[in-house]
Amino acid sequence: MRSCPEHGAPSSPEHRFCEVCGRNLVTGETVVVPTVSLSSRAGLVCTGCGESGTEPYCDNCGRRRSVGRDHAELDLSAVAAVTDRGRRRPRNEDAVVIARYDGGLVSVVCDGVSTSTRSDAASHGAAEAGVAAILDALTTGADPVEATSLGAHAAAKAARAAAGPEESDTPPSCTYVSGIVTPDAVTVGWIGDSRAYWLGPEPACLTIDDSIAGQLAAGRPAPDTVDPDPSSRALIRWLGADSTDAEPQVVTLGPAGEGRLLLCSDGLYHYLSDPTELTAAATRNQTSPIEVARHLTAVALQGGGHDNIAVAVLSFPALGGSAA
Amino acid sequence: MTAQFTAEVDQNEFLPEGGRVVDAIVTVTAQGGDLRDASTVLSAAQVILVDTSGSMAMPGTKIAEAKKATAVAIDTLRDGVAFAVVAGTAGAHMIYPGDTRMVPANPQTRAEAKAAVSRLRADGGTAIGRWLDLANYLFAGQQAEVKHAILLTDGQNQHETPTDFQRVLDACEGKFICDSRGVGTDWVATELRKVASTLLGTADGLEDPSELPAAFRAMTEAAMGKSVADVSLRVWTPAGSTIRFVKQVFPQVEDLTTRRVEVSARIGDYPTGAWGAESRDYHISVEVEPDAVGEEVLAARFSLVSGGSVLTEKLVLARWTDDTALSTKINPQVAHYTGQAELASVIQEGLKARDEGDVETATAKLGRAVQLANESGHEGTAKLLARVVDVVDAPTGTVRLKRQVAGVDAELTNVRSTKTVRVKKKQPEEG
Repeated sequence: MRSCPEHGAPSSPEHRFCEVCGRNLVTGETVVVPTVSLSSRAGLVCTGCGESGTEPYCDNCGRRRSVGRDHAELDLSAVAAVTDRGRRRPRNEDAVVIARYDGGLVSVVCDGVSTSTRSDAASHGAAEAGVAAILDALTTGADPVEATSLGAHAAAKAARAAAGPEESDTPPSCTYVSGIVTPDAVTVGWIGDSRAYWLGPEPACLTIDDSIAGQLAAGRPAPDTVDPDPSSRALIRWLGADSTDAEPQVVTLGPAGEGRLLLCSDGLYHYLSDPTELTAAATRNQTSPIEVARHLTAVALQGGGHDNIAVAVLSFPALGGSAA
Repeated sequence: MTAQFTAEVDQNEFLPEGGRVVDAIVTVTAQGGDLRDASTVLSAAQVILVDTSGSMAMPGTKIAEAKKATAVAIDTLRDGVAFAVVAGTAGAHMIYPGDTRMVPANPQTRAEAKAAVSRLRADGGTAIGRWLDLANYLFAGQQAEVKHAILLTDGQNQHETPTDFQRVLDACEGKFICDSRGVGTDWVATELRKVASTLLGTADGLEDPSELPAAFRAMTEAAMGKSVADVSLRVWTPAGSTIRFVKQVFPQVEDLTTRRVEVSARIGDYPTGAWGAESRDYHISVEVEPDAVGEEVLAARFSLVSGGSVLTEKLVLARWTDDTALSTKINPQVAHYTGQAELASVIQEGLKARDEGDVETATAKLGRAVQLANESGHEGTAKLLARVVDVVDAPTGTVRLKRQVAGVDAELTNVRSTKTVRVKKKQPEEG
């Protein structure tokens, strides 16, 4: 009988492929999983008037071209994401990118800082550069912790590059959170207050917000900032031309069982922040990552949608070749 | 390397909720170390139109200074520049060369031309349109990149109808640039301003004929220093918007709104003539469709183009905000040039009312002019106005019309009414 050297015999002797990894049991060929990534970046069509173009301002109606889509659903099966403009903001300045490679899943969520101009350019630049650098590192032998750091550095560079020559006071800026799921671990890195949650056995928030309130809540000493208010949620770290920060905080988790890694902007956790409640909401009726992402986005919208929402859901464990 | 153009935008881009009108001042500067370098300047042609009507002999200093000035202008021409000198009366006659053509400047032609000029006699009438018509004919045979005429007159355009004059101006528009100067006491400011506006040049009056040689040299030097010809101001505005106006506001006010040439539905070109090393300011006002608070729109894209290439480009943005501290802020440049444009028009309206005997309107308009000149620190205009009115109180614009005004003072005030000053840069605070 034909069998897979890694996963043993198939459930039926007639099967020509391993049900776990897809290996051809006749020829012994493994399935090469192409590296695929999806971004919430908008196309060339102006959201104001529908004209196509590439200029930063629409050549017909003059509106500043939105970098991101008002609503985007990204689905690579084992990893999926949804982002939405919400109910109050004129534009969606959150960005999300998801990817799948031969060995795992990757995602980055960036939240454009609303006090700066064109922060959607920073968030999309950072999210896309971050994922690209992580994939590049992972597929050339780096471990997830190294790849997480390289991703954040690449994202920081991209966010800085989003600033035009004439922006001085408030250049485009954004937060950053990355997640890498491999067959045995979850690795998270962040700068800012976008979060990562482990939804599964022993649910937990994996990140510590880069704000005074976030640092104090985590039992860390109050950071030395101009704004000493202990309840302040103002960012103390971010990416952009007015920041030299690029070193992410990194956390690695070896979960005890199956579950999901959730990355999200404050547009979601403003309404639902408790890890146990999030896990419950994520596992009630939803079976696939895209369904979980849709449901959590709907929760934020029903709560009021005061801010842009970005939600990415990554399955653990990531089954290498059979990620799809 | 050709001239380097740079542009700066001054505006308050914040609009209140529902706000529609976006105003911006764009300062365009052409510079470059080699702008005065003979190897990079443009090929040029110059026609000098000298009034030789009978009145130029009364007093005789006028015709004498005009001859001297023409000789200076001829000496200022670069070698190789095609030139001609025309005597203007009720007709137009070639002084040099003898037939209706232009010749390149060189030591021999300059000497011949000056000799011909020295033999000029003042005799005849005034028909400026005929002079310009001959200049236009002469320029038509030239390939030069900069075609420049100097027009000198001492009298009213008496010997042709306004319709004929207008027809010639229309025919000359876009064909050459003309700077015009009035000398003596009988020239008419509105005629010279019309020539300057249509032919993209300057207009001024000279208080004394002895100023003529320097003026002719300056005009010729400026023309010889032009390094980019046929420059257009190109304005893109978004769908659903309306251009309220496009004006040059420095060094003089020139409303370009009606001179638009459509390039496409969104884009129009406005002529600005030739540029040397210089700086000009433009005021553009656009009405846009309001958008939501927090939104941003490109209200205008402003560029200078020549021969299909973009020399410089700037964006005029609008952003809607509910922060009234931002939206109510008045941009000092916009306010200043709005005042300068009003100053030009109240002077012109005031002088017109005065000529028509409407004392009440004249006093009100010229009083406002005195007030505006005082506020903006426009000393040149303030001094000229003081020749036309007795200033009782400048800050409130309280004036009385003078009973006796020399005719030339009113014309000088009028012809210079469009000249503007820039906002004085804030001095760094003493500390």
